[in-house]
Amino acid sequence: MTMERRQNYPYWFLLPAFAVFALLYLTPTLTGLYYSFTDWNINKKTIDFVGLENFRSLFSDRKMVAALWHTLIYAFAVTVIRNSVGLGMALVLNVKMRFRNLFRTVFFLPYMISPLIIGYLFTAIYHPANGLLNMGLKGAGLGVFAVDWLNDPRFALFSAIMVDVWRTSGFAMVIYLAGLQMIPGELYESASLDGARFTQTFRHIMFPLIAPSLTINLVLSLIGTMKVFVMILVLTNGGPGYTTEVINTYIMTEFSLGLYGLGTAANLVLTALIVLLGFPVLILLRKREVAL
Amino acid sequence: MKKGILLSALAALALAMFAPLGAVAEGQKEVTLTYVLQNTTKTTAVEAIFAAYKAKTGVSVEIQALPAGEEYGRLMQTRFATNDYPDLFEMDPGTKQYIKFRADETLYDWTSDPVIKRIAASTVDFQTLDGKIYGIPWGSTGSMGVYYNKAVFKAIGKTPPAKWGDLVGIAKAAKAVGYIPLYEGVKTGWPLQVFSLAGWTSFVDPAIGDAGVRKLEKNELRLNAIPALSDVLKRQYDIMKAGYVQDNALSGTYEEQQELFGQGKIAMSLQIPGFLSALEQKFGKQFVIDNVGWFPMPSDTDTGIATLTPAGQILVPRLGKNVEAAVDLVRFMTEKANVDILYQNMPGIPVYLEASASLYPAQEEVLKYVKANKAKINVQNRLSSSFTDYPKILQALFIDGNVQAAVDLLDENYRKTGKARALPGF
Repeated sequence: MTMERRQNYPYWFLLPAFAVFALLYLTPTLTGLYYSFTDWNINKKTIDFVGLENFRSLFSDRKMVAALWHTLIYAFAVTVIRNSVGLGMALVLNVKMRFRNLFRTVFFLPYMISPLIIGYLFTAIYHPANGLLNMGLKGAGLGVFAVDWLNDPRFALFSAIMVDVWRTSGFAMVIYLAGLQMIPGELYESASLDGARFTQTFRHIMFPLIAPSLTINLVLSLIGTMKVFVMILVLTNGGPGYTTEVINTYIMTEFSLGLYGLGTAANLVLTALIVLLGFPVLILLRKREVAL
Repeated sequence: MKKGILLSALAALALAMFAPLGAVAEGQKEVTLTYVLQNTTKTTAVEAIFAAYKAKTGVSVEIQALPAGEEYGRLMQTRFATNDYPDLFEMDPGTKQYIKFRADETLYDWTSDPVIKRIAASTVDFQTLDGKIYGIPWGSTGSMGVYYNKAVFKAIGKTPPAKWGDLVGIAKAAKAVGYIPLYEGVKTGWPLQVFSLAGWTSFVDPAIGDAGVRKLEKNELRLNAIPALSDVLKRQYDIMKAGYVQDNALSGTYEEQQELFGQGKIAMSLQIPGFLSALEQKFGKQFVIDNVGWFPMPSDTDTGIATLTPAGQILVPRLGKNVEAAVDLVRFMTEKANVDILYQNMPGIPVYLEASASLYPAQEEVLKYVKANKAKINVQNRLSSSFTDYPKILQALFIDGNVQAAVDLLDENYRKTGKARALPGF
């Protein structure tokens, strides 16, 4: 009888991968961290260390505070609505029906299109006079709801949120569908034999067992939406006024003014915010998965 | 015999191989200059001039049109920061551009170039900072202010206002019969600046004087400590609240403004001088001559002070690849025949001494104010710092009506930009 020996590969095998990681990830991250504590500026010849000055300046800037607030609203709203819609679509398309695969493809398609193109499309769809949405509303006798979606400060952020929901719900649907299809058929059968209604089946079987899909969807959605940029840039450019300003549009403004140190500091704030929100959510949902 | 054929074939092959290389070597000597401008600029004149330049020198000029507005300046600054220099480019007027682009390090110095002798003395003064000239003026002097439709004024029985109260009266009369009294729009869809900038010369300049502007330049006066400025913004807000601007006050576009003005649906348009050539392109020269009038923002007591917009300028990066060729092109562009082409295509008050230019009636009105010494250059072009984010600040004002918040933010941004540009006093 021969004993199998476990052979470890030498550690230096890690070097190529680590070199690439260090060059393309660690170096920019660490230099970015350093520059956020400097007065790096396109108009200055020297770059000097200024301690926490950039952060003081950021948190005393009303535009940054508004951008922070809008980013949180955007992330929370898109995450909740996207997951509700995605889950709803997954439940419907998990049932045997005609054209099921076609519907799945159609609902997933918007996710394949660049946010930039979708942004431009919705700029036209939302146009107050000639846009498809308002023309449809007027045609249906609902002209009273036809508003200036992107330029009325009451609706601009909501309009942008709904575009992102439309674009990404199909992606959430696919992940939920994968989760639903992992549930063994016997569980449905026994629930049916016990006379469980759909709501009971959903509550006691489906929802607990798609916990990993929920974790993935919520965490990806939260991180992705906190970093929202292109959609807002194309649809509203942060306006009207500052009513849809988000952290990334704020960062863009600072960078384009040549205030690289301040822009990098704002980026660090965004990263910290993502970590502070993302990790607790991830840990909480993971615990829930284990408990189930 | 066979050997001879083989040698001939090899010689032919060698010729065939080296001939294209020779052509490439020749081709490498050819220069194509890159000329960058804003995508809202009418290019007919420069295209004609560049064609003439190619015919004369063999040098081609490629036009690159970049997004207009604040974005344009930012793009150019980014290109400079990454050493991606165009050969030459158009830029907004004013010596503040020298500061933005760190002219002493990056731009070609025209101070003692013969080209300067072709330029009007007042413009040379305007282009000079600390005794140096880095920008060659390109375009004409114009005015931002109120462009009105003469036919609409005739229909409502009004003439240009003699004072502020008359302007409000005209707006009221126009609205009463279904016209849009006032429309303000820019290409990118975020309007609202022209009112307060045109209002500055009629309300703020008389209140703070040149000394006040000099204090602003040195950061010795705060924008939120100028009551006349708050007053102008309040007037703008009140006009909007009274329903005297277009319904889509936060989303009026330059395109829509031109269309509705040309269709005779707008009484007054707040605009910059380029409005006239844009209208000419859409509705013909005769329309502009017959139908478009101009007046400055009236004050409480008189017709007001005209707000002049200086000619733009051409800057040549001295770190570019083809500096000599670019300088030669600028010299060519400023020859009489070529500035004549410019002014034929963009009528306006010329900045070149030898140029022949015809003016639209609206521009003749501006000239009357200049001759009567009732004109001032747009304050944005007199200051080295900028009213950064101004359109958004004004949109916020339209949303919440908070004049104090608007001037506070304006002041904050002005000082922040001054500090970022390392200007003395900031």
